[in-house]
Amino acid sequence: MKIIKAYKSGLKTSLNSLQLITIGYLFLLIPAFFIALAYWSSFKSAIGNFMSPGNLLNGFDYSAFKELMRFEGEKISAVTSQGFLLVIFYVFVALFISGGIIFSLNNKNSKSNLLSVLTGGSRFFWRFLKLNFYSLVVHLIIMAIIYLPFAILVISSFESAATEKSTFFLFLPFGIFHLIVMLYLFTINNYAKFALVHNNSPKVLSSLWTAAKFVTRKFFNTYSLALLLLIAPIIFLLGYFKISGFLEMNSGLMILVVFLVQQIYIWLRMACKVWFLSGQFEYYLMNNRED
Amino acid sequence: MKNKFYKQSIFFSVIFLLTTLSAFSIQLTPRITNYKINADLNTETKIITGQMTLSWRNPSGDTVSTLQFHMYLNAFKNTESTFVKESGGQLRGKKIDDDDSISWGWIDIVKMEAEQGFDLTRNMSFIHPDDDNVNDRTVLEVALNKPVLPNETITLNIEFVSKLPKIFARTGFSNNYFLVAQWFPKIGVYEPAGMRFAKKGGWNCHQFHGHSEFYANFSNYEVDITVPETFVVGSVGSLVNKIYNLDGLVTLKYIATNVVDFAWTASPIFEVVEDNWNDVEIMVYLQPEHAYLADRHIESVKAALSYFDEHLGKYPYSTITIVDPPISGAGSGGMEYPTFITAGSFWGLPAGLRMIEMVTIHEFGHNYFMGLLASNEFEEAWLDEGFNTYFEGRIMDDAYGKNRSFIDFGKFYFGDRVFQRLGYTGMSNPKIAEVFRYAWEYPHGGYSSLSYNKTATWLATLEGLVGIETMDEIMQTYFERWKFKHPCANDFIEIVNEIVPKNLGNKYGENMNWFFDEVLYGSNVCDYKLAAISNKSVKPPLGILDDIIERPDTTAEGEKLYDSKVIIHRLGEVIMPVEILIHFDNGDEVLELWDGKSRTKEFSYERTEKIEWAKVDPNEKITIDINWLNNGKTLKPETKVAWKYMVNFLYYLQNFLQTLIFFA
Repeated sequence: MKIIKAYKSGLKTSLNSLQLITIGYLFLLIPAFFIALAYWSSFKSAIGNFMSPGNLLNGFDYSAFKELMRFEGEKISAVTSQGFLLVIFYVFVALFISGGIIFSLNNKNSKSNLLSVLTGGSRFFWRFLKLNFYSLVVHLIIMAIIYLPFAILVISSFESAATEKSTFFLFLPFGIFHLIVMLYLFTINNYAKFALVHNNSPKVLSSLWTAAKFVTRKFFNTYSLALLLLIAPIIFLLGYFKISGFLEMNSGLMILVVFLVQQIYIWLRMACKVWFLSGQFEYYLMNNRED
Repeated sequence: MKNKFYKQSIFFSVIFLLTTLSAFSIQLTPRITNYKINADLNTETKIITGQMTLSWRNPSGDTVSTLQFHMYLNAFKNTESTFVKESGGQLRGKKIDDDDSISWGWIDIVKMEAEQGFDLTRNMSFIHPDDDNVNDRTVLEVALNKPVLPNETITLNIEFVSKLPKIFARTGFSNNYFLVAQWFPKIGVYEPAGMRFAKKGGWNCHQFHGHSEFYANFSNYEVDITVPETFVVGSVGSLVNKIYNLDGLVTLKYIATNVVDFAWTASPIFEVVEDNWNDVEIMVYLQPEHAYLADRHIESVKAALSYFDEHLGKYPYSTITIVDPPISGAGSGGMEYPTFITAGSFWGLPAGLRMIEMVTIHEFGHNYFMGLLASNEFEEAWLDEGFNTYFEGRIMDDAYGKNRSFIDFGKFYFGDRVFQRLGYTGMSNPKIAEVFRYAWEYPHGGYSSLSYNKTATWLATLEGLVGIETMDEIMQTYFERWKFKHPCANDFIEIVNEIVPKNLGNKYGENMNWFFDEVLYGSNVCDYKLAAISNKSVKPPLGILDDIIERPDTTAEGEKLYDSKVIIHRLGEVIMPVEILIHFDNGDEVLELWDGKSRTKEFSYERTEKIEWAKVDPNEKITIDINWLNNGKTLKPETKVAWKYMVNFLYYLQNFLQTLIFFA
């Protein structure tokens, strides 16, 4: 089965791309760390010599938290708004990193390093930006098509509904259908990126159209592969929730332990991203070789 | 079918006889009013056709020549009623559907006859005692042909028609669900001189307002409700008879004694779950899709019954009915009538979000605060809502744990009383008004924050000051003295002033009037701040020391002596006696008491130990203090909290960014 081969190949590539994963992880850690450091400083300053915030170490004290935010929150909110600006900025950084990763995966012969990520990111940034814009427009149109009948149904049924349960079950098929379509569009978007990088094509719309045809033609395989590639991140997510549920950050040591667990999880998420892309890219290449 | 009919008839006849005998033999109230009502509900037109026999006894020494009635369904008649004007046509997020003509509700008296058939219908006129809204039709005055003499009873036969509104608030219909409240002409309360704040005898009959609707005599009700036999009916009081008519309708007879109101519900799809607590029958009328949530209603109402029984007084009725409205009739949820409450549930509501429990406990509590201690909600909403909110918090914390009684999701949790306090202290302007005012006179949304939350918070402060045992004694005395009566602020304050000095001597002065002046009649806030801690080493005296008497050195060799100080500021205008806990670096602790009167207070110590931290009100008794953050100060701040929140902030930010990368 091609998809199994692609899946395994993706895993192998990601295991061999520890440097690439770590570069991606550092792209996440460094800017976030600076904001977090400012957050720590403002939080520490907000706490000052007050005693009640100390209750937030062993468990949670809603009064202490609310009053800290109410009376000293301005110091903290200034930093959280910086975090928001970083998120906006990171929409573009994310495109850059994606370009860098796919470029590195495409150049299997040369070693993936910071230079290859920077080269790929800068070379394909504008093309990826256009591609994501088009994908977003398509997604919005499809969302409107999905949710318009849902809204009409909800409005017409609400008056006679006894409880919110029926509304939920009315929403469920629309929601599930939306998730299915979203993954389909997401897969097309990825294959369009592979086409752009692999062919070094400047034609964004044409690549998107080619990818749409490719994914639709091989719908079962591309979709199955995408679902297969989602298993690992979901397992990691559940594992993280399970572990973090047991860990109380009530001492310096425990804070350090949780920090390490969180960073391992973030690193694994980045590894999953590389696995996802390399698995799909491998499938794309297999079919391209045949074509 | 016939056999079933006979069996049911015999069964209900026996019940009726027993209930009537027992009900009328227990006279708990002054028995001023009795109602006998026949009500036919047309489920298609949403109209109730009613005949009512009302007897009213003049409880005063006055000669009364007019009667006043609540005609509260007229609040839903048009956009000109005081209720719609005050509420802006929306309440608790629900809006009136003014596009649909069936949305409006009204009540008309078709005929009113006094004894000997004297027609009073032409003597009726609408009055508006609370405002100058001439278009409000919620209070009716009737001039009598013959005045009612002191202690004399008048009997009226009244025919009325009530059109139920489409539910957006409190009462009405939604499709085939009916919550029938404020549906019949209910006589006002005639207050003789000396009762509550009355200087002379007169009617106390307020218009229907956005925030208040309860003040009525304790009455006996005998109500026959006729509905299609496919409907399930629940009501105030007890079902004593059920007759299947030949036209597909069923007539249910309910009896309720010593209650201040009568409401009922009907729907063809209710699922009824029954249980018992001691001799109280619990009935939950649920939407079928909510049936699995019945236990949450039942357990919470049992917790309330048990807590009230132990800490306030016995629940005197034999039933409690809980109604769960459909989503389209959610505006009728969270309401209270004697022995009959509406709660509300939500399919899929997680167990850690205790909304069902909180609403059920709160509404049940109104059986005590309003139902039994029948204060005037229009004039003293806080005496009803605030006291009930205070008990709701106590019950929630007792039943579900102090720190997790309201929200309980793993590492995020808080208790109901915490939520109540923050509802007041978190107001953008907690000085907006004093609590003691008419319900419709609270400015700019201050009604719920002040009458519910501030009152519950200052009651918790009173509890903190006097202790839980004394507080329970106060509340129990209030209950025993005023149950089945109409208490007011003065009656409660009088009891506090009686019990606190009895139990605590002069600890808080001759009486507690100062407390009520601050929290009830005043709008100022309480805020004590631990302003500074200092530890200075005591140096040997310098200069010309000829006539200086040296103090004996009590320190061991190598030990230093410190002049340590704690300074407290009173930032708010409200004065409360407070405790201050001072902790020294060897673990010693000193608890100081301060009357809290001056603007600043200093405590000094000369010891070999340094002060490490100090805290005003260490046991958080003064819940009315609007800022607990500034209550404590430490010279060794807990820096790990900042690390904890920083690490989590970093993690969530990275996750968010990573999600962007995933989709990019």
